[in-house]
Amino acid sequence: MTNSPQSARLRVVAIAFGSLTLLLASATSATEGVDSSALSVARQVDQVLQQLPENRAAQFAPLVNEAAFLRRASLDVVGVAPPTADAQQACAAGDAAVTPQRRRAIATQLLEDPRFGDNMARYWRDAILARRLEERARVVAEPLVKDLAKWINQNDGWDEIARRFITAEGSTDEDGATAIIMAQDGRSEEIAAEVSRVFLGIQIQCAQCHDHPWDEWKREEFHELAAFFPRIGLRQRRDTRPPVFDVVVNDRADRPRFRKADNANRRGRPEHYMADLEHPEEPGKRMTPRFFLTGLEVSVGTEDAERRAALATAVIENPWFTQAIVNRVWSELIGYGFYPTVDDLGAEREVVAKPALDALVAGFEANGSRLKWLYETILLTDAYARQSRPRDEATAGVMTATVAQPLRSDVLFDTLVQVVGVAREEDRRAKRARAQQGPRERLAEVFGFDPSDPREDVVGTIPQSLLLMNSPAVHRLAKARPGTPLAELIAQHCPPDGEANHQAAIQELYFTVLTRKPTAEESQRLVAYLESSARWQPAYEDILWALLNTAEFSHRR
Amino acid sequence: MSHVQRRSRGFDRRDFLSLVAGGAMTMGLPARLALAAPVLRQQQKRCVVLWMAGGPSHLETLDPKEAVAGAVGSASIATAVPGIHLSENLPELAKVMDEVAIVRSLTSREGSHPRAQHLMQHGYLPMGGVKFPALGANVCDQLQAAAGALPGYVRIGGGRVYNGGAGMLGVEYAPLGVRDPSRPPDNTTAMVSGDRREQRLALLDLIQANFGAAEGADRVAERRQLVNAAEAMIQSPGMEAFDLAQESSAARQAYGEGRFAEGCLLARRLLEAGVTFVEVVQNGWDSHQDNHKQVAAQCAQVDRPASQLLRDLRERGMLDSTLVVWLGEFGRTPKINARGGRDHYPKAFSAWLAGCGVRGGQVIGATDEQGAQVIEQPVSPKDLHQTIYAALGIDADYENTSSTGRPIRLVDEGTPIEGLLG
Repeated sequence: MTNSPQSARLRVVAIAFGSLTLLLASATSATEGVDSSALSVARQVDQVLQQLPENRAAQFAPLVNEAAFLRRASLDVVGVAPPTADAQQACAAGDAAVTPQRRRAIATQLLEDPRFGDNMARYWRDAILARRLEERARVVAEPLVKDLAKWINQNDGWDEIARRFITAEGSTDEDGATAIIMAQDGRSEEIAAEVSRVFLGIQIQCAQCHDHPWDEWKREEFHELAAFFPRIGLRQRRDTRPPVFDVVVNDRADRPRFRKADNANRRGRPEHYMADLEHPEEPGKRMTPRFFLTGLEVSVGTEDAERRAALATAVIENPWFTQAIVNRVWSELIGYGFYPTVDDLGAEREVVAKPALDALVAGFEANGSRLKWLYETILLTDAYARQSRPRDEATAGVMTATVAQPLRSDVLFDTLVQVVGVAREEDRRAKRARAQQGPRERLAEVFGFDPSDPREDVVGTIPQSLLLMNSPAVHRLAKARPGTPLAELIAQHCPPDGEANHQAAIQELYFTVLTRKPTAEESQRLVAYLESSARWQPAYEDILWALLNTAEFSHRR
Repeated sequence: MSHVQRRSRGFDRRDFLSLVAGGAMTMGLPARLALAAPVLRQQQKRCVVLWMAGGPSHLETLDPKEAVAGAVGSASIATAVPGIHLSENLPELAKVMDEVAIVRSLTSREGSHPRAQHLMQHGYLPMGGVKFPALGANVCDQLQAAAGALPGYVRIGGGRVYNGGAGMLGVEYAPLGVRDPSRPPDNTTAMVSGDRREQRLALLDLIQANFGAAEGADRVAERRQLVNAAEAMIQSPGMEAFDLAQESSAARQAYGEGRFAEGCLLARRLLEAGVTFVEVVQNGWDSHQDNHKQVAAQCAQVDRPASQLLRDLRERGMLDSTLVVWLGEFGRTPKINARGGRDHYPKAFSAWLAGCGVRGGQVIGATDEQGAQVIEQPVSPKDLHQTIYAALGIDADYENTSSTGRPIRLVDEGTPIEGLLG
């Protein structure tokens, strides 16, 4: 809320430091032949951070080793921890800081993996559906993940993807781009608010009923934005179960009977009317579609296709559009953003290290607004490769350390599956019992969160702890009974007719679960524990239980 | 044993009390009572919120209108208190009207679910950068809730749509969610023996030390706290409170059938077991279509259990120290829409309170004959929060400190509703 003095100070400082001004110049002229490769932009970002006056006295956290980098990047990019063999190989590189060459190789390999698209798509499914007005909006989850994963994997620009969401039409069980309209129940005001929040990072919906108390947005401006969406509606198909909806368009003349002040606009109306708060029963004031950030105006009477296309263009060409996505991805990967709240940006908001954000934004735009480029660039920064620190400590300087983050439910699920497997029978039984709700969805009920919420607000809960500590499902899977990964591991390292190599077995468990070597103390004490146990199997189960219940396992370190 | 260390302030307070009680033995009885009584009395106070998610129509529940019979979906009926009428959808509540104070003049400007719910649950609108504690978290903190190993704050029903938690107060004040009141909370049946659990917790401590040393010190501390709380809960005899099968069939029948009925019965059992704040959530009040039928069906779920909860608490001598509040986030439009529904209407709506010093058998405030405007004693959501804190003996001016060091009062505006208490 008090950004202006700070950014002004940054600008002054930029002039004072010659090298920094040069950097800024190169960042802003990226389109004019200046090197805007991922590596070059990553270096610019690191230099900006190194030279920030706020960071002059700060202690930068050391870079992580290769194994920690691999785990972090795998969880972030493909949404699952690295497999045991890869973990073992990375651990062989030792405790030295991960080299730039390895970072690059790992980033490239992970970004070619189609699970990148799946992981991103699930993130956006949660971001969009967490704010749903209607439970039935879940119907769009599957097509949303499918379509978005495809678009991201084929490296479509984020601008083109946004355009598809803003201009969507068609069936909610076939076209994932209908997700925002479905989640907002086809209501023009709510759709307008979400389009602004999701794609521009600007929260204008507070101006729905009154002028915004501390932002500049006026009630009129909100309703002018809503006026881009009155003609779409959401129609439920007959006799479908689960219910299927169609986003339909109604281009009709603005007859008096269509004039309504309330916003339950599920059928599509010719024009948007802003309610008169003193006389809510009146139709209110007819609003001309106008985009509050640029003043773009479309006349009353314009057909829906033209309205939404015009708005989509204005949104994706607006500077806040790229800032919002760059800030969001950075925030996800580093642990905190240039703007602290990923969906609450704006000129009035506090921002740190703006020149670094600007460099990323310029590079992103010069490279076709592609998410793969953005991920690669951030993965190549030193900022990303630094050790994590508790949030309070990390935010004492500016991006001097990363912040550990709780895994999103899907990531935790896929990693659990990789570590202990998921019994097929369990899957099937669950599907029978509760229509379509498998173990992934049930885990999400306990571990799911809205990824747009400030991550420090996402706190652990007792039910989460109970699920990992004490659920019959995890208990069964983490047992050393025939066929489980744990039983195989024991059989390999402690053959019935040979000598037991507990140390090797423990090491492999650590590779699998935590992607690291046990410390000398851990190794020694765990071997002692195994040797003091009457039977190995239960003792190994205890160790696996302990590994799975660490904060280290369920966080991105 | 380090992993069963007890960190909650509740425990500290209890230890302190037992020390005080022990030391006071030498003081003689009157002095002892004088010392312990105010604290104990405050500790005994409890609160149940019956949360009607979606915004119940005031017109077909607590604020029936004779004059516009055509537009109102239910007739009004007389209650145990002469002169007070309720919708015919609430025949059971009518019988215990002498315990209940109805507020018909709630009014706010928030017509969207998330904002209005946030306001009603926290006493504040959402604000970037400030993690407001929900009412229940503040109450547990202020009353120094000491429920033994059970959490001080339990939320029954609801689901992910319904938000609000400990906020800046930290995880120990977060509500324990119980989705299905007919079963104990998920995963509370121990999978291995007590000895083996001890071993496992010791191994966990060993392995967590690495991440906890620097990189994830805060995350590991949080996990330790949660694991300890979960472990203490599993072992606690208080877990029996979750077993509704221990109730007689007569008691169960008195509450009626359905999730909400089970939730109310569970709420009473949890209060007896020492839980300080219980929410029972009834979803489904968002009657944009076919309002009259939907509200009648909702009332059929809610009316008997809510009323029986009051009776039950009265019979057990607990009602004088237990505040019961029934509310949702807003009311519904007086005008019926094209689909026979009522839309969101924050301008005038109703709630009721009972117990804990609330003077029952009265109506606070009034709306006009359409139920559209408050015409007498308007009550804001913040006034309601002031009232709840006042009834529970909590100083609403108390300041929590946000993560940025900013002082945040429990409620920053409003006054307790005049005439409601005492």
